[in-house]
Amino acid sequence: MGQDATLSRIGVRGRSVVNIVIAVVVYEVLVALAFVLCWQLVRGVDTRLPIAAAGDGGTRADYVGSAAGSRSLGLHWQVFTFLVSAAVLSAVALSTTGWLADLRSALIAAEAAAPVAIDPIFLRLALPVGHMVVLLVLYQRFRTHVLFPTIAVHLFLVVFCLLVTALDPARMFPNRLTLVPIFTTNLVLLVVTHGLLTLLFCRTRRELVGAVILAAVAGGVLALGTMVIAVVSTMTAGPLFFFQLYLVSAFGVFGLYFCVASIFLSLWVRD
Amino acid sequence: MTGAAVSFLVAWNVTTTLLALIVLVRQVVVTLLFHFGRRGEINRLPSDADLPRVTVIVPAHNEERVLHGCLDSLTKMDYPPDRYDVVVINDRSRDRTGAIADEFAARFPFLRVIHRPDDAAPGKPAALLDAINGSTSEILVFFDADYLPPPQIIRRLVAPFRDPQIGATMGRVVPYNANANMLTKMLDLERRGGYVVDQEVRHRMGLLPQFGGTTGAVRRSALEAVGGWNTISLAEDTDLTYRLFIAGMRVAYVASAECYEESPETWQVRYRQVKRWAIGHNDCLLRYFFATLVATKQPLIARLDAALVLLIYTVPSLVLLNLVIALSLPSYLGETWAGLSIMSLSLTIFTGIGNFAPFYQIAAGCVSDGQRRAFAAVPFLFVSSFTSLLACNAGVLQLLKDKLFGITTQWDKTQRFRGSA
Repeated sequence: MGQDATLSRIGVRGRSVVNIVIAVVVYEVLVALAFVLCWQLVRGVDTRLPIAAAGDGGTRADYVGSAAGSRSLGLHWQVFTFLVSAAVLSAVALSTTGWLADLRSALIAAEAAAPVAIDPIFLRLALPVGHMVVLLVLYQRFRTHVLFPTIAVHLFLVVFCLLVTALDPARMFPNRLTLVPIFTTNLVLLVVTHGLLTLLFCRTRRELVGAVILAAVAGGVLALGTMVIAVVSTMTAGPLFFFQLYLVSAFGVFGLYFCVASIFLSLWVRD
Repeated sequence: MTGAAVSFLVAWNVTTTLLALIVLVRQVVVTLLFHFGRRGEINRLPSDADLPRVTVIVPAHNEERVLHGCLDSLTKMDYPPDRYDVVVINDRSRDRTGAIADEFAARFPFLRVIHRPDDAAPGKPAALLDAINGSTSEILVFFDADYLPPPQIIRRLVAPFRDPQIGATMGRVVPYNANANMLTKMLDLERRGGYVVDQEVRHRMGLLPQFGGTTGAVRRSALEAVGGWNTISLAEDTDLTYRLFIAGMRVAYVASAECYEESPETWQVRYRQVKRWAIGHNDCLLRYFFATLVATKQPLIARLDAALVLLIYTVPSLVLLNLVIALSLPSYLGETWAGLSIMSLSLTIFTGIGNFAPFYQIAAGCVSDGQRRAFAAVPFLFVSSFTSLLACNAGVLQLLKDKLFGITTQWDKTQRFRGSA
């Protein structure tokens, strides 16, 4: 009977480790896939600028008037749309975050109730350590690749965070407040960026309506991203594991919106 | 960690983070000023009778891959031949650079070559000084050997010198190999932000545009008035820009003076280039920061902006250091208001400055160029941002080390990628 229980525990532990490995691999593959897909989309766009001064006519810089040029609708409409967008973005982000909080609690409760006989510290370290292993492999193989500095900086950060955590194990334990700066940071960046995109790119009624819809999408992305951070932090990395938060925050939430919005806007609106 | 140490770290973090925040806010304000502000008057070109005598200087160190294109362009300039000459400096080259320059000199009488011996002082600034001393023109125009200047560029660069307050002019640099790979695409975008928007707004607002050392011109009398050419600095262009500013003169940005250049195509070459700029720029920061702030011949807003621009290559180090400090703070601080504020600000600034600060200017630049589609590549800006982040930090450390041990930093030439000669 006792032997069966031990074997059962080993079996559960084995499955948990496999699950963690799968989670790490899926996370890394998704990031890589998103990167490659976006790059495939924009690499064909010819950005080379012809030298205007070599021609026989005037140059771009000889144009008078503002760079904003003529607008179908006035600046006041753009500013109004900016304010509406900011309100929509904040409202959607806050309300959806509240709604998703229940789902988050349910997920965490389900995880806590699961018969996982595994060290919680091990669980919390699995994702960052797994990430570090992937970065180490990339560091060795991508020496001449253009992404090498990105890999090097992230490797430095994850190693640094692991060292700090080793010296201060208290940061492994849950702390709900940590999500506030992540949410605030992304909210501010999203509002500012979305506002500038609206002012720079959207001139017609159709484009301004599109900007408001995009603001709602941004709010949803922020709420969803915050929930993912909360779940991942609580279940694996620990809320004070800032490297993880940084990654998900900068390249997950804001980065996701950023890629979608900039590619969408630049390919959609006309020159 | 003691309370005093924590307090110091918190104070340091908050102060420097706010500094970086000011830089971020400046980027946004400049973008809005550019996009909604009115452009200047049409840059009318001077007639032949008004054109001053100019000497074009082309420093070349192992430039056989690119020199032919540059010299070929310089032989097709729309400028009166009796007021135009070209000096090519073959700076201790080991390849066919000298031979190529000599071939051109044999065919075109207005072009001459200075061959610098192996024991000459190394570096581009020293090479330029030889050419400056060997010419008599009032206006000196500079092009790097990989540049491809169009016919009217010199007329455009000399036009602002009608104003006696103008000590130097600077044109717009456009990469011709933007489509080579991801890095060159990003560098092209960065150029749009830096030149199309930032330089333009600085010029328009009466602030201080940067004289970049190439695709630019300098008034000889102004150069002599501020003490001549600095051959020690790795950023002799920045050095001259600030000396002119402190002396009460202005630098004019000429947006219509566009010139092709070659962008680095590998991260290693870009890394070395930015590291060199970071060393030179931060060296200027140490020498001119306070002098810039008290340059009473200039308006207050111009002084403040010029001082802020001097910090550009320091901010990445401050930002990374702040993030490291925020990560290192004891976990109990994470639950306090102060701890949360520090972490939030550090994260915002690291994300904002590191990846997205230039984004707004680039977006405005793409709109201005009528190439909104180029903006689609902006999310990949982190590729060049992280290269610059590493290089700036390495540059700051190198400068500190050199200052500490009294070492003279060596000039590092940028590798070229154009097809073989």
